[in-house]
Amino acid sequence: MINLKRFKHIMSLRQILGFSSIISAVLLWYIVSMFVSPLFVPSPKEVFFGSYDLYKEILMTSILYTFFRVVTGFLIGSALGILVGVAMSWNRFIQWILDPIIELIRPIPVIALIPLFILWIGLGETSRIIIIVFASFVVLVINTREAIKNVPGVYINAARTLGASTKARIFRTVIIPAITPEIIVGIRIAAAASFDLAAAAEFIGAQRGLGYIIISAKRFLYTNGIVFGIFLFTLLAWFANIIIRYFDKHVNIWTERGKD
Amino acid sequence: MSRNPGTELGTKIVIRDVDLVYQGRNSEYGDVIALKDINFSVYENEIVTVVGPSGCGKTTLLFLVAGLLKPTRGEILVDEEKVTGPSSQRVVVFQEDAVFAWLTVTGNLEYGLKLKGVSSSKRKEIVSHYIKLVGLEGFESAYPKELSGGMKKRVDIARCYAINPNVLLMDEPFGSLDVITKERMQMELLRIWRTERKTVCFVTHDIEEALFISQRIVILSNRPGKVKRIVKVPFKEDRDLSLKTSDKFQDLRKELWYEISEEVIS
Repeated sequence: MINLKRFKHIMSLRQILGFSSIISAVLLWYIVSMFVSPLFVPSPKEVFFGSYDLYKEILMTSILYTFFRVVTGFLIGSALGILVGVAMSWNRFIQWILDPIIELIRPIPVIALIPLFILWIGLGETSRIIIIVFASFVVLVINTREAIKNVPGVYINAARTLGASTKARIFRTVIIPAITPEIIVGIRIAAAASFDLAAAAEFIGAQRGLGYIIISAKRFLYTNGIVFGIFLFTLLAWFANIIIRYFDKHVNIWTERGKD
Repeated sequence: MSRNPGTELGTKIVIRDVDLVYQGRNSEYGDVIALKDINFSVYENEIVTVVGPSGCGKTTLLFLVAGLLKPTRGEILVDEEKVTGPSSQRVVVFQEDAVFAWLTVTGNLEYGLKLKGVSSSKRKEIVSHYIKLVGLEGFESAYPKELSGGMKKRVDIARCYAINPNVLLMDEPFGSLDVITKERMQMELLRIWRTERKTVCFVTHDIEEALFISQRIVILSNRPGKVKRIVKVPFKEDRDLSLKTSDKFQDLRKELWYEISEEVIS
């Protein structure tokens, strides 16, 4: 009983400290905004209420457009990445053919590809999504390959002597479940990268989306809008992370993680 | 040996003229001859231990019987059939922790049964029988991360027993356990073996363990591993820990110790 109380006490102290550190940050922001020109540091009140009034009509569509781009690109790219990563471990010829190509494309800064993709595919939706597909694919293919390399050989030998006689069975019953936790780490990284790239892609030529809000606000030196756009992006990424965490918890009850 | 391997009644495993060379294409050591001219048989329902200095090829020999490695020369017969690959008839308890971390205790025990296509009701029955046999009641739905090293080893052994193999191959299964747990596991192995007879091939570097659990001990020489001597263990089947302190046990232990340490020094 005493221990439980102490535990509760620490938790509440932790929550109080966490909460007050956010409050102080916003307060500091507010104080700074009183002394600095609103062109550089607009006050929190202006950012949230002023911008909301201005953008409320396009707010929902902007969020949905950005979210749609991120989710579509991320899902297609991740699925392809996992598939190709598994295929490379499945068959060494596939591995020998694809390994050099993947090593070649992995160091490319994806943002640098945006102009090229726009040139090839045009300013439409496809080029923006393809950028995100590409980034997620690279993250997941490398992640999947590493994860499979890390599967202890003893698991595979054990499965073979326990009757897993085909490659398909070993993949289905050992390799896939064993790599799932590492894949989820990759998915998290890919999701974060997808938001980065959605922002970058929307800066160039988009007519809708959160990136468009930011870049058009910048054009009119409307700093409120820039900060508001950043805030919405953060909110969206935070929401996506919660969804992934939910999956992580349910898929990975067997791992050592999840104690923090 | 006067016995002609393979013709003996009740012979389970025949190892005939086996060499194993690790081709060292990418290694700075060149080719490594791990095993040379291995010849011996294992009889039905006996526990045979293989002992020898470290690096003498004990594990390699076990992997050959399991079908996880192929001999460079010679052949291995189990029930008069040549071993060509792994099979659930020759299941291995590995030195490392091989319990699948993503499956519960029940899931691990069911693994091999599912692959064999055993019905779910039959699986339930078998699983609960072996969980009881290794004393893991109450941990049916625990994940391996929640178990101690000794408990995981018991899951591994139960998982192997559950698929009812012909031959049980054990590669220093208790090597990583503390002395007390190790002795308990040895007792448990003997107890399980007395109730469910199986042919057991057990690799260890622990002479005491070999004497305590087996009917015969195969001593391998230093690399390249050859059969140096096969010792018949003179104790009755029903053994308990007091045996380990008896004079006869200690004398034999000393004798074998000299035999093996000769190999280590040379």
